[in-house]
Amino acid sequence: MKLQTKLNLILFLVVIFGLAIVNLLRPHSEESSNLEQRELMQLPEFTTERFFDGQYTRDFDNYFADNFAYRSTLVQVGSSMKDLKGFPDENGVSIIVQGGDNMAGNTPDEPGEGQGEDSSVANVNSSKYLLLKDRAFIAFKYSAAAAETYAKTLNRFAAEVGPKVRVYSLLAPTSVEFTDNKNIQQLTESQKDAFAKVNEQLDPSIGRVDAYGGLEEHRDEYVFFRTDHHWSALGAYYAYEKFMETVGEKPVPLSKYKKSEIPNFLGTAYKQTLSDKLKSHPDTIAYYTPFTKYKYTMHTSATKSAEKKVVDPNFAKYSSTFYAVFLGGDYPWGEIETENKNGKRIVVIKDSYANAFVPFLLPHFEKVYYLDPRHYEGNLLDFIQEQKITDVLFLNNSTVVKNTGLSQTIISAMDK
Amino acid sequence: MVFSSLFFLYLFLPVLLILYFVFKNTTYRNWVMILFSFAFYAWGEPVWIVLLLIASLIGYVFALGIEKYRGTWLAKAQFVVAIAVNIAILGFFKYAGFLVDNVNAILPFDIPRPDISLPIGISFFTFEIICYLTDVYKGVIKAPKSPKKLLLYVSFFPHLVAGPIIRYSDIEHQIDNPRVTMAGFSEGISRFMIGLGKKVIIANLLGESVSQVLNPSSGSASVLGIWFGVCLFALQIYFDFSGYSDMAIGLGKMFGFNLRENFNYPYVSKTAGEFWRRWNMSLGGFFRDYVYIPLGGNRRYYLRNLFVVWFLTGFWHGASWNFIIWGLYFGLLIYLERVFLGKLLEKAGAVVSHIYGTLMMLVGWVWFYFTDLSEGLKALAIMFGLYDREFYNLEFQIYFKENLVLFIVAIIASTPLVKWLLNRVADSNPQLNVGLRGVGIPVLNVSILIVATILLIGSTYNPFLYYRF
Repeated sequence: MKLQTKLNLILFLVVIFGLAIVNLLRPHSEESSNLEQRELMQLPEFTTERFFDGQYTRDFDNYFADNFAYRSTLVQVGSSMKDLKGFPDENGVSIIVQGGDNMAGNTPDEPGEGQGEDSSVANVNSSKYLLLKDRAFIAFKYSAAAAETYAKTLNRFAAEVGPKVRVYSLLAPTSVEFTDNKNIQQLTESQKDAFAKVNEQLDPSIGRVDAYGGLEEHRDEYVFFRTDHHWSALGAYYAYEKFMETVGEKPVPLSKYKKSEIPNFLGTAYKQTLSDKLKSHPDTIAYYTPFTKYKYTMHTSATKSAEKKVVDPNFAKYSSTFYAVFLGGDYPWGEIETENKNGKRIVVIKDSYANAFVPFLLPHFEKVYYLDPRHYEGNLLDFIQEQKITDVLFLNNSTVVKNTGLSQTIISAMDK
Repeated sequence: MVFSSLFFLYLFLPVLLILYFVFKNTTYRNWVMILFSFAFYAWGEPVWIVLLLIASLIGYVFALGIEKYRGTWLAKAQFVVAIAVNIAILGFFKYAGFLVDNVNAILPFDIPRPDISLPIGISFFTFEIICYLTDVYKGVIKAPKSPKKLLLYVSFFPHLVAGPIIRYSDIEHQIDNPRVTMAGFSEGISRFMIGLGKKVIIANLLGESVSQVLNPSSGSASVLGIWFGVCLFALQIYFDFSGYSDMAIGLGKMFGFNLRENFNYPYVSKTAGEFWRRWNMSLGGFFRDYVYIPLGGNRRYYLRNLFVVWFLTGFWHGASWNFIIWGLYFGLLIYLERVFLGKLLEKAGAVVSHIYGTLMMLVGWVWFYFTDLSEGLKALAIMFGLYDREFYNLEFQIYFKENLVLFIVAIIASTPLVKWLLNRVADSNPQLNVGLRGVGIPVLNVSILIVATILLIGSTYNPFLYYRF
């Protein structure tokens, strides 16, 4: 029994003190976590006020956890370890719910998405990923309330801006809609029906863009990423063709663009699920460089702006997500002035799906704006007037028929 | 702060160990412990530490008063006042919002709802002070002259935020004469690791699926799915809560304190009565000794006493109707068992009794899990085929398979089977037993610690289910 006591004490103390010391002495060099697409918590500043409202200790806990020794490696080890808790379905389908249990202070990469009062406790702020071998989907769930709110929001917008401004609605389906796997189909709901419900309720003056049809025609092509929740630039192009059809213009053929590729892209779905199968089979991101001359000003906040390229492979190097190749990522708003002099000015009111889409608009407009209601601080209606907008395109993915979060931000952007 | 956090394991505990064992003098050690216990509390609840101090101070002053005026009406008066103040503190911070909501539902106008967040551990430390005052009043214990002893009893961090609910007499002697030994410390480590493993490896991993599977409003809910979800939740809450108690008891042992046991394999119970003698034993003991028996126990007003106790037991778990129903549900079962069901079950045999015991426990957890009563009723309706849902579906199959290994491990670990097997080995092969215990247990402990650390890093932050009670 003596041996047990000694060995037990020594092993315990070595691990506790060893890790504690390593953790204290190790330089805290990383400032952000690529994997999680967020800033790591920095050592919080102590003030009595922050201490007494509990903020200091919460921040310190997060700081301690975020900067723990070997964290990024061990997070992935832990994720692989969890696979031991059972067996995958023989068809290769598994369900991973992410985001329900986030630590305090974690900002989700896409505020607005996945938020809504109509989802049950378990679903607030979380996405349900369906994994099928090396491909990840986000399950879709229709909410009649969300569809109604979105349609009403657009109707109100159209009424506010008046008949001089043309308003279009483009609802982008997500990848789960176009899988042939019977099991996955059982675990998700129809986006086609959901979009039809929105279109029924939209004011007749609003142009409906059948992006769904465009993607369905090309469903076997590389129109969606496997490890990321976005569509590819190719998918966005087919949606653009349908938009041109609605506008009544001829789309520019894809062959007019110079196509380039970046391999080894692991997207948001991988980062959320840490699935080994996704990791071993990364995506390739293709981009089409515009031929139109332009000047793109990215407004990163109310006061700051920078001149950028609308499609830039360098963003993949600097940013934690390769999808930032398009427009540089999600920012409050941007202004692209082109060489065209036709007086047409469009604003795309959008979520991140529009990022791959917007560059295709350059040949058709004098000015292309985009505005992300989740980040934009000003009034949406004032923006339309001030910039003398002629066309407005609402481009959002099917999340807007899943919960009311984004509609609410659009409404509040009109009320500000 | 919680025990199963990186901050506790790799900063708080090492620093405490150094500062505690640097001193040889018991008085200094006790002050280090009090200081760290308050730091532990303040870390999660910096403001309400004042409340903890006030409640302790009231306990201290009034207990001395009770001693001084023993035998006169003043002793009784002080006792009543002190108990009333403690109940008022608990009532105000925990139940004011609930009360106002219910009153507003009846009144034609609305009283503003007080916006108070529940101070951590309030349900535990107010009960401990009530225990203390009652025992002093009854003359079971002598009120200490030094406030230090009471402070240490109330604030001792292992039991401070989630129990076990200890009595002053449990640790009175240990405060002055703690028996800190190598063997005791080692035992404490082993006990702590069992708890850490239960919480971080089993409960947390089970918890990841519970909210998904146990969702009767989701379109993908099925009969088997809800049953499976309830089973997962039953296991999760057992491993979560008993894991916390194990860690508390283990930490107590490391510092020479013996805290009382809180769980004794509740899921092997054959009746509701037995379940409550095995589940959260320190709470059951509190209600038995400080409510039920003073009210008259079995001898006077039995029915009233029974339902008062079970109403309170339920209500203690949370200011919400579902907890009250949960408590009364057990009260009813225990009553029925006493009147006729117990005899019936005895005749029917062990198998039938275990099936009954498991079923009543699972149905109980449905009441407990859903704070929204309509959701709970829906879940029960689905479970018993009264609601139009598929018997099973793909989603259930996927979750079932994905959790199967963990599910079986958790079921086995919730029974005394492993303990029984180890004892059999010890009896039949003493040499193997020495080897197993000498090397096996330390290696197992350190493995649990490492795996738990990796999982904690992976999951960042994960609060206890019982944390807010």
